[in-house]
Amino acid sequence: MRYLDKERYSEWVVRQALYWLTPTTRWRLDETENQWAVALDDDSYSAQAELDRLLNDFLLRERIGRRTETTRSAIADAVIRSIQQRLSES
Amino acid sequence: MMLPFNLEPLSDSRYFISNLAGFHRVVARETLELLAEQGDGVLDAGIKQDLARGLFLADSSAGEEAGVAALASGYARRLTRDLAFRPTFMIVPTLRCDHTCRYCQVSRAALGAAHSDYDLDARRIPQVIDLIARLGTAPYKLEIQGGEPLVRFDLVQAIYDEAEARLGATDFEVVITTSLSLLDDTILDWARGRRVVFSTSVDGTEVVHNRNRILPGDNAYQRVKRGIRAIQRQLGPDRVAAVTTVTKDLLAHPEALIEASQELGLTELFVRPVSPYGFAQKSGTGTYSFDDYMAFYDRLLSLIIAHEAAGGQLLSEYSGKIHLQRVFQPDFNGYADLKSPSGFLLDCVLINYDGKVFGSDEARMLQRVNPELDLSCGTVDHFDPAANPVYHKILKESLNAVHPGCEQCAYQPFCGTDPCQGISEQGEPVGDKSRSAFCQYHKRMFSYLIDRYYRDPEARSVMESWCHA
Repeated sequence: MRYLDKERYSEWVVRQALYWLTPTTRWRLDETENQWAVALDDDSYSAQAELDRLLNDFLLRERIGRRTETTRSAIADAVIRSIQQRLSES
Repeated sequence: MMLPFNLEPLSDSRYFISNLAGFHRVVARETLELLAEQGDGVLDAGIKQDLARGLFLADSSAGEEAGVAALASGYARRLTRDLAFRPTFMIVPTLRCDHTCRYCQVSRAALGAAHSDYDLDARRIPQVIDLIARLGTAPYKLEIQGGEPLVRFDLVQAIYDEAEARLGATDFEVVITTSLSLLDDTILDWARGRRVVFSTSVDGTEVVHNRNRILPGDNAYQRVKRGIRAIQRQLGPDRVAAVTTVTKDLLAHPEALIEASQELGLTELFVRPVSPYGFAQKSGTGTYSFDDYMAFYDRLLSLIIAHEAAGGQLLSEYSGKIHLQRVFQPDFNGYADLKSPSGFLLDCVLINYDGKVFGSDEARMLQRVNPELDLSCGTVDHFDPAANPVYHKILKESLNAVHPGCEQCAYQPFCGTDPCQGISEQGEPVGDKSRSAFCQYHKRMFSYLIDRYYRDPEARSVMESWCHA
């Protein structure tokens, strides 16, 4: 069983990492008040290392995503306007 | 100020980053850590300028507004381009085939099966070409598929004649997808003055090819070899191309493929894993991992590089080329698999031997193995995709930017979707990307090629030659 501190790892990060861990091993996610409890069917070093790599990458994505969250919605709105304009011109 | 982007790790401590407009950069992990922790104020001026040029950073709130507009415009441009309806028209004159290949993708009918059950009715050909004229625009691309289409060479001729009369003599091109086993002088003489090219399959050396492509009572490899040479000699080297389906037998021997290409005088390889569709899946010939496939591809690329370094003629590999073109040539969208929305129907209209029409070759394969489903979009007399709710669902759900698993992926702007593969593997068009063969294959190809491009100058030079050839 692998325990991950909830203060460090958000649910989004843990679930994203486990989603991409599926080709490597089956997994089960439980939680306590302060921790995520991750059980891997394949508990080998390579499976654990893959989980660590994914957790690190999704932590980075989360931190970068937080800085650009509002801009993403602004782009989505602008894309719809731009497509409507292109379609009305064609 | 940061603009949104996605990231994927490469083999060293660098990351591939991309944005919705389709720009990309390769950056060190430390750069991303700095951006995440402290923003762009602490970055080296050169890096900052480069990232701003790629619309990853904006230099002020006014710059942010301009950046948002530029990213939105770039994404809208890609979307509207990929939404264009420019199909290749595939026609299946017969499902009958003289081969009994182990991994046949579409199933087949025996050569002696009833013509009325598995061949296109010749009286339908004017309607077929009429449908093409109504749906397409010049220059029309026609692809004759099978079965083995040369089993009914008379129908191939009739299709060409009708197209010539109805579409205009110089306004179309025909690709005949064939094993070449039935190619003879009559067919070569006919093709000589016409806009016809041949696409065939070569699966490695004679032993490997014949193990999978079985021609009862004959030698499939010798047949294809004779056919390729006859086309090259009599029609020209550009009139024939070959595709390689990588089987378990070939995995350990990429050098066999280079040798076979040399022997056959082919300068472009087109390798791909065994199709996960229908009959190929059931035959068990595709049971190898993508790790195995990528190890094969890595060795193949190294052999191509070594071959060129030793003074050999440049060999290009088409699968690698199209992945690279999607990343490095923003206007390239000529491959139906790597498009979002999917190339389903937008890039392909397939007219089957029984008069049914499908939105892709994969849809007709799925139909063969799932007869209880209706994956057709009408018939040649009554083409109506809107009448089949499956088409609406597939097209609506084929935008990878909103697929779970794709929305965070840095290869998403260059990748696509294959809804039929999703249905085949997981029973629905979107599916779980972590278990998707489409995702595993294309993500690994992008990652491998980009990684090697940015870390290996010799590989980069060869890849650039592929893209600019």
